[in-house]
Amino acid sequence: MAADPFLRLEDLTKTYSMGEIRVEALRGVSLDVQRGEFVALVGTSGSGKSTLMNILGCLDRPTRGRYWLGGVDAGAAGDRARAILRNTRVGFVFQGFNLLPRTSALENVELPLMYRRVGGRDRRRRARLALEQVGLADRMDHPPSRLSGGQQQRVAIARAIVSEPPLLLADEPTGNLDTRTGLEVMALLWELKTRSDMTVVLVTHEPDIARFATRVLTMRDGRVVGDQAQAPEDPARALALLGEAA
Amino acid sequence: MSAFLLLREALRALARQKLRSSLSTLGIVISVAAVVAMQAVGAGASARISEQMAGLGTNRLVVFPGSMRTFGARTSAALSSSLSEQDADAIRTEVRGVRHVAPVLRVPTQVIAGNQNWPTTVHGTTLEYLAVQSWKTREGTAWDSGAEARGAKQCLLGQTIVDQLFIGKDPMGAVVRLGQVPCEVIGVLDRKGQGARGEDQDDIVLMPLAAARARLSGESRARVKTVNLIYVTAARPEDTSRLEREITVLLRQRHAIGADDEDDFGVRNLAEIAQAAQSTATTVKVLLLVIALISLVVGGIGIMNIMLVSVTERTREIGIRLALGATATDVLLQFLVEAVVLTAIGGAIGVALGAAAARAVHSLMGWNTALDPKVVVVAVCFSALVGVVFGLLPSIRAARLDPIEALRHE
Repeated sequence: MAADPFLRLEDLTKTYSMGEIRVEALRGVSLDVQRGEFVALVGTSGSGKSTLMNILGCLDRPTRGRYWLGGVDAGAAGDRARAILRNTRVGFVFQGFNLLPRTSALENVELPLMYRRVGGRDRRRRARLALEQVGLADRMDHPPSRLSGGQQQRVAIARAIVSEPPLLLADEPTGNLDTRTGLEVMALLWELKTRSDMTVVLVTHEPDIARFATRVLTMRDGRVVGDQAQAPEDPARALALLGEAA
Repeated sequence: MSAFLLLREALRALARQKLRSSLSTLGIVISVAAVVAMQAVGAGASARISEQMAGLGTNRLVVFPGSMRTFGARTSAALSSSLSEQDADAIRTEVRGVRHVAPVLRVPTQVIAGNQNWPTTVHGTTLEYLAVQSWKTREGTAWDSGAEARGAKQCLLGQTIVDQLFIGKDPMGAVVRLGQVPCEVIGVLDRKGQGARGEDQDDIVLMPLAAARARLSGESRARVKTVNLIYVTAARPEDTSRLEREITVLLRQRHAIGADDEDDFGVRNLAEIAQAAQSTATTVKVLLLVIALISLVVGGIGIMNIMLVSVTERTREIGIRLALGATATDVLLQFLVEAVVLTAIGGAIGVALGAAAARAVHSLMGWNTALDPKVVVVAVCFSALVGVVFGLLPSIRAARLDPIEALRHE
């Protein structure tokens, strides 16, 4: 028998009630994800992928069904327990970067460690290290307003990996970026993933981005309708090809 | 987050909105400044009142003849006094807890020195009068007990008399005429200034009671030696009211007043005046406190308003923090600490402004101002408390935000 999967979802449903109307965003999702997988979650808007993402990231709780995150019954966890899970096991990368304005890149990256009560010196050291890993060693003191979109997303990625979470959730991370910058961000995610044992779940509606994943889950009307393992492309190569074309 | 980080984050968040932060705490600044300034000036004024009260003598009773408040034909106390030296002696010997008894015979007299003259009132009294009035001589000394017993023609002059009669001259040892009677000046009294009713207390000549009676009053052979006033002091201030009652009983007995008849004398207790002044001061203090509380509450509402706006504006920031692993408590504390830091800084600035205002009053008006460190501590603590109370609602609102909704907020 194989080891317990890193993520296990059992018949997850999520129902929102807006007054009289009940919206079933998830209608029974069951799946396992192994440690180290790079999963792309694709589907049209309204297919339930954002809802699933929120539950995976412990931002939301399923109406029914169970969700294990690294052996912890995260679906049943209370608010405080989920906050701690988010802090220690999940890193978020958003489409809109979601950096704190008027706050330096370094301080943005320090935030998750603050909530983890990591001491000042250690906190700064780890935040610097994370920024170096995303190639922003020379921009640490800049506030987001003085960084380009790609740089902002790099800061956001540094913030997501600074506490070395086993799960990285990326919600349309390239959605606000041009093709080249988007490929650069993907290359960075790829590199970070290969260096560590991190599991990545990527929400996207661009097939161009999904091709870098090891597994593609397709969603429609609150259900997983496609589950395909694939040989991923290397974003570095795609980047090189783009260079040649130009 | 640790306390230090919470504080630092709060200061940074407030520094990002400098104008808004300073405007929103202005209410607290002004109310605390007003409280501190009013307290300092008020304490100075209160100390001054206490000094004046001590000058009046809170353990002092004044026994005066007749009663001018009743209707019907009565002998005026000004013409014929119902009090006598014998009454004073009886009070001295029969009432417990008496320290000084000073009977006073007042005789309006023209004082003449050289080619100057001045109308005044000669007070014939005993040596104890100076103790009762806590009055000292500025030059010379009072008469001795031998002079008092034989009714020596010696006198002490009030400052006003000296100013009127001895312009540029030394009164010591001079002989003045009190009406027709020559009298040796043996001392000059300290300046006392205006009395409670605006009268000039320094317009006075003191001489031994026996001398005033024999030489000035023209009633030396009367059997009853009348006096106009009897001052009595209690050995202990808290006995003053008891002395008042016992003196009343004693004098009613001595004057053979029937049970249904009114007193032919009155006793005024200065302690009551002091108490009245004290209770007025207390009322004013309570009033100030209430006003201070109201203005702090108003300031607090201003803080709450701004904090609510701030929570709404920073909804997305809250969402980000929640996604990064902040618990509801972390978010609650973040906004609460911001509110408290805001009001505590406001309180501190208020204390500084209030102290400066008190100092300005001191140097401009010459009032004594006393800044009480207790008030400073209480003012700052109380404004921090206002921060807690009025910061709580916005903080709870922030802490209750749903992370997904908050992240979606534009």
